[in-house]
Amino acid sequence: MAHRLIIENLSLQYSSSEPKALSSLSVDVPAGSCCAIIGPTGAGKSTLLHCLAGTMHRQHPESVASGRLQLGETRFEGLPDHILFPVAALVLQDPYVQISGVRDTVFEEILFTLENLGAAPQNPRKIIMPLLQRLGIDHLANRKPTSLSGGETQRVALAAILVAQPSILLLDEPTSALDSNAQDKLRAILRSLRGTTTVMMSDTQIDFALAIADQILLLDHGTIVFAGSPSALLSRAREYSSIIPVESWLATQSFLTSLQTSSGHQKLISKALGLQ
Amino acid sequence: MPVRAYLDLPSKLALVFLLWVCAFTLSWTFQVSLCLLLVIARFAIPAFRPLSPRSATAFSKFIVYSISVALLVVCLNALFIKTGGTIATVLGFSFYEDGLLFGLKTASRLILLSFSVLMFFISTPLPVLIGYLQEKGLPPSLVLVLLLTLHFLDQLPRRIHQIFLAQQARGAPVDAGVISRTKALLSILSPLVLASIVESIERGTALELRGFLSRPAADRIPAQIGKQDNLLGICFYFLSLAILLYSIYRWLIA
Amino acid sequence: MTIEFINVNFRYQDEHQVLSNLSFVVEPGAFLLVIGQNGVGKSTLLKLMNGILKPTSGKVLVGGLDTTKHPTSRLAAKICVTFQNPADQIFAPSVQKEVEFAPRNLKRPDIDELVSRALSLCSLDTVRTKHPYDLPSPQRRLLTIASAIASGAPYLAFDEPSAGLSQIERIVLERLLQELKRDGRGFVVVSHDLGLFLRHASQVLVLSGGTNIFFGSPEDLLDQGGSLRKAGLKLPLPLRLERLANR
Repeated sequence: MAHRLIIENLSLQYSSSEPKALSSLSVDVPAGSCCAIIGPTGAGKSTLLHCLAGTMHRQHPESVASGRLQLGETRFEGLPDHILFPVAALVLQDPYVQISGVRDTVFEEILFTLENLGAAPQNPRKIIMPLLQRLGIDHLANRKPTSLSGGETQRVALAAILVAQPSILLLDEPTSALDSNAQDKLRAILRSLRGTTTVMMSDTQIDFALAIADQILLLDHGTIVFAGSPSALLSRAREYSSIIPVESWLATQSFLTSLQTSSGHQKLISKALGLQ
Repeated sequence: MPVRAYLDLPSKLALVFLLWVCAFTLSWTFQVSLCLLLVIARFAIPAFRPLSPRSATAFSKFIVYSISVALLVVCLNALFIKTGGTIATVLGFSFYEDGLLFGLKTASRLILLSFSVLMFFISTPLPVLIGYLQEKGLPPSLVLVLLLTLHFLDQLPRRIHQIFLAQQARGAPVDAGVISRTKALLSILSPLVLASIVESIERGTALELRGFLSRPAADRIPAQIGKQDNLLGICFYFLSLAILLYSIYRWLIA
Repeated sequence: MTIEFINVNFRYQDEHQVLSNLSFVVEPGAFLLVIGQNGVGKSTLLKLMNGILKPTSGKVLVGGLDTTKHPTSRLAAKICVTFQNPADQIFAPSVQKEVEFAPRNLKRPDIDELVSRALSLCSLDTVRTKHPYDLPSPQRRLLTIASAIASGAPYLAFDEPSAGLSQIERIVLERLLQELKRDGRGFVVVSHDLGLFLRHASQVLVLSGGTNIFFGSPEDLLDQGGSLRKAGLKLPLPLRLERLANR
């Protein structure tokens, strides 16, 4: 069951003497939709995801937060003081630390999550193998989780969270080590979650974010600079070139010109981005 | 995997306790025999079999390593504790009886202590152990610390190897011999530990993000303790007690 | 100097992963981009280049040195390789010391100069006294790149150098590649990030099923298209659009 996610006026300091890492963020993510956060390093993308997952009290016990969060029917004044798994589940950026190290195969690594839920099913293969297949890593099922490449580990880490079927899925830079093929698979999975899982992800790969998200947040120095649809962002891309240089977003000059020209080109872009 | 293969966790713990008691009380001949029995048990008894090929190799390596260390300890003691009669003289070096005996006692004790602990860890699935400890009321934070420590120890050799590779890739002659290896190892030890601590903290968060420790102990995987296992465990504890009492008695009349 | 792979086969002792019958030559000052799906053996290829791994059969020659006959520390003077995971290769207590490590070991006469240049190329000059673990992870990745640059080796080999970098650091990376290319440095880059590196590459090696299904210029690769599809790879969106627009 997807949950609606509401962030109201959220501010955060890592300690009372430090400047605000997040300031007065307000976002409404409808249940079952996908919201992508983009912005430069240090903009607060990861911080926001950690706030929503409920890890802030652990990682930064000194941190001071204000504002409100609402996940489905549950409301929090300030930040939650416990990890919200499996209601909200976060896949971290560094794939290697997410391998528990207590299991010998990828299959068992995924099973570990189910056991933590106290809900290890009768025949876990029936649940886990199709999931691995969807992520294109079923051939790794019997491999040792610590012997995999970065891209493979990243998908194992994702599978280990997805298997818990969270209501709100939080992804921190999910594409950073994925090849284009794996990215396509991830995109297909995120699409298939539409309606059943609310997704919030940070991504530095703008084209991936644009192609999958219903809503884009552009963060800079802890504040929301832009919130809206991907096409609205594209049409205003130039305005934000000081935060994210446009030439690096879209990599080629001709793409830039195509952005400003005919509606035919716009359609082309939307089509290529999978927005249609 | 049948759960029976590694079920008797409390009795195994009791056995480790018994072996530790033996290590501190019995004579070195007993201890050496117990070590031999342990090695046989590793192959013969399902409950003591290593869980993975990796832990099997670790165990074999440890046997070779500890026997060489033991021999070294025995020789050094026999050389430098110069009391008692001379047993043998090799290349002008004399070995003395008292030193030899003391060396044997120390070495066999060390081996028995480490063998028993190692045997326990290679044959016990971590989740089962963790589940059991939680059931017994170990605070979650301690359980997490234990888990991360074990993981750290498990990964340490791999990390050292990786960093050696990285150093070689940047021109350090780590591959040139024992001395340069040792020097390199000493120089990376503290940053390595620091890096591991940083990583452990993140790994801890990652584990909790997958629901680890989030549920009450009652819901965890039960350690599957049968009655006969309980009985076996109690026997081990009684035996430990008996050996302890006996050695105290001997110590009193001596 | 060149890097030559002659009929190289590689098999891990306990695993299935294999490179088979790989032959190619990287010309002096070339920029070789190695692409292929996750787990196809790209990282293995890099480790074969500096002798961390030795071919099961065949030969790898780096600047004329056979990697089976020379230790990695010696080959490091010819090619400096970084790994995928920064945590596996950062060990010094400060950024400066980390970057100094390679030129010091390789006994370069101009250590200070090499270090300053590498630090400024990677925009790390302001954090040189910091502990590497106090840096955010994109900067840690740049630190591994700076450490390789400072080696002064004529060839630099990077494993997924753009992974986890935000736009700002990607620009830093692109600029430093351009600048070092101008100096005549050669590169071997393993990456899935075609959008970033294809423009800089002079040669592309496409791996699929453990062997090279394409070796040639980026232009030829784009014209053919087939090899990319065969390797299960796709051009990134902007490149795809550019090609569509040019048609």
